[in-house]
Amino acid sequence: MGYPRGSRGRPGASVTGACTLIAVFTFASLAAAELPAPEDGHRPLRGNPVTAAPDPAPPPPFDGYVNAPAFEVVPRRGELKFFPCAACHDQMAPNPERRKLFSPHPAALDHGDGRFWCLDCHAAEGRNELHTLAGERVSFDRADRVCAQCHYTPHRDWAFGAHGKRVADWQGDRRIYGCAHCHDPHAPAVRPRVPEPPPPVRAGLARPELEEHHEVEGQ
Amino acid sequence: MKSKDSDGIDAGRRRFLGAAGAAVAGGTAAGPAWGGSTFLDAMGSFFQDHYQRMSDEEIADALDRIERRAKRRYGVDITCRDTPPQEGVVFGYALNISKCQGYRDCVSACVRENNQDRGSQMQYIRVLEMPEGTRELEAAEHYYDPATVPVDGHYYLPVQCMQCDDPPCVKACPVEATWLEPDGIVVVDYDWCIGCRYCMTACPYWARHFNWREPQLPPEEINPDTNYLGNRPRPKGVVEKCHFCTQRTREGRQPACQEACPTGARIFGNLLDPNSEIRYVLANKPVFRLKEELGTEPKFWYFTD
Ligand code: HEC
Ligand code: HEC
Ligand code: HEC
Ligand code: HEC
Repeated sequence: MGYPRGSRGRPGASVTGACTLIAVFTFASLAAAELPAPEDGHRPLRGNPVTAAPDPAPPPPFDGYVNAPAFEVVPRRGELKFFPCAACHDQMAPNPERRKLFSPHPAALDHGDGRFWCLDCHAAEGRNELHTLAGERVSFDRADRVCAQCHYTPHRDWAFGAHGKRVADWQGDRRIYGCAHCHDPHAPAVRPRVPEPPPPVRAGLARPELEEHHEVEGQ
Repeated sequence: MKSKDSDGIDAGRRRFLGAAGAAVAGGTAAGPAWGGSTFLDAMGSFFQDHYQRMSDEEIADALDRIERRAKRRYGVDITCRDTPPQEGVVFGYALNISKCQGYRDCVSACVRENNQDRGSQMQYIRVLEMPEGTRELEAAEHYYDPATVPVDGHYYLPVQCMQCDDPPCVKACPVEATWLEPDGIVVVDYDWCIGCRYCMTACPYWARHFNWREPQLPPEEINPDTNYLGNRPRPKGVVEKCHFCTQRTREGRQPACQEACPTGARIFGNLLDPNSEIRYVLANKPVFRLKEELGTEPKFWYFTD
């Protein structure tokens, strides 16, 4: 078996690493032995002073992953059948009760095994927007922020380009599809689908085994 | 890169060509050396040089001939260009096999985009249905046709040209009709190919296909946006293969298979750009390549979430 040249984790690397570690530890213990004992029994934290108290202000809202390449999300609002929602919902009191909804909306929520309900994502007041569990308002165009609360890994991959899909160009401005382009938030699982036809069999060559194969599978 | 030096085996042939061309065209300095008639086009094609040796004028003539031939054959106005590779770009592909559902949307998009023959097996992408738990390619089935995909207990492995960095097909070609471009794409000069099919036997990925007939497709389905090393209408009896949609990707667009895939399993980009999606995948996901032990250095990776 040949392994790719220049792959990570070559056997030599760990040995070198271990040697470096031993050297560092030896040096560190020597250095520690030479330091004078501090008066209050604690050594000062060099360069990393701890702030007196935790910052009481709320943490800044999430605005992307460090080093993620910039992107723009393809907007969704234009795709929504019922937008603007406020057209009806301004006349109605929000109803947080879990129930079977009648039209025009999805009757059931096939997402999260009953752990949450509509108003965990849809803002009760101001129905034209979504909200996070922390109460932050989110536009339908950036629904990914809502999804990200519970689906960290796919969201991170999505921001870096390993989940979801980049539109049109590999070069230049990066435009990507939002989560709802592929996943219906009310039933997000990817459903089975009819495939495109198989390749034609070359003229003159039949594939009888294939027909049998399919009869066995009940086609 | 296109080398324009005319030294070597063909210098004599070119000198002859030049003289003959001037004679047929009546010695006019302007205009194509070979006029626009069917006969002159046939002569022009016959004497056409290897892509890498053609001068700018010769390439322009060749492109015009391709356009005229398409018009005669299919009655369609196409444009054929010779898009050069971009500086500082080497293309790579990564395919997420935990996303691929076996829809074959990539296959049909590729057929349409690349003006492939309809009704024969000329398809650059082959989606293999694999039993779960094995990477044994002998167990693959690519004629699968169930009512819905994915089928339980299977996963899907689309295979196309891996654009190897050490391509065995290129070494096998006796006439150098196929080579590795600076942007990492292995291309074929369809007019130089003699159809010996050595490259097909050399390729470990079944990525090369011989066209037994000139591509036959309904004129209204012809993609008129073509490229010399890409999707231009091919002559009969040559070997064809995936070329990462040179007509699109060299202009910054995604290849047709990536654009068609609804799952986002296909990730295409510049391997030299550290911020590209593909580099993120290579650095952060478990990736593998097919038949890595052969040392062909494919630039096509598979990965899982
Ligand atoms: C045509 C009028 C109409 C529009 C437009 C409309 N809704 Fe509704 N919506 C209703 C009705 C009626 C109900 C109550 C259904 C029931 O109780 O079964 C409802 C209920 C809901 C509920 C359940 C919680 C509650 O407060 O009753 C949610 C969530 C909801 N709508 C979201 C939306 C969103 C988001 C939009 C915009 C994309 C929207 N609606 C647009 C008519 C509308
Ligand atoms: C996981 C978060 C989440 C939950 C829970 C949720 N939604 Fe939604 N909903 C969304 C998102 C995101 C969109 C935007 C979809 C898109 O872009 O296509 C949306 C869109 C809608 C729309 C507009 C659809 C259209 O095409 O106009 C309606 C109506 C709606 N939701 C109603 C509901 C109802 C009723 C419930 C409860 C049964 C509910 N939603 C539960 C996230 C959620
Ligand atoms: C409040 C937490 C929460 C939010 C917000 C949320 N999800 Fe989920 N999601 C879950 C849980 C829990 C599951 C697993 C249970 C299940 O399979 O339904 C899940 C499952 C999924 C699945 C896998 C379904 C399957 O069966 O394969 C997808 C896809 C998904 N969510 C997409 C989304 C998208 C897109 C959004 C944003 C519109 C979103 N989720 C928002 C909690 C959440
Ligand atoms: C281009 C389409 C596409 C987009 C955009 C997309 N996904 Fe997915 N996602 C998929 C496919 C395909 C799968 C695989 C489903 C399967 O394996 O059956 C998947 C799987 C998932 C799963 C379940 C599997 C897992 O890895 O746990 C979650 C959760 C999920 N996506 C969340 C998201 C979220 C959150 C976003 C937005 C940030 C998003 N997706 C954007 C296509 C997409």
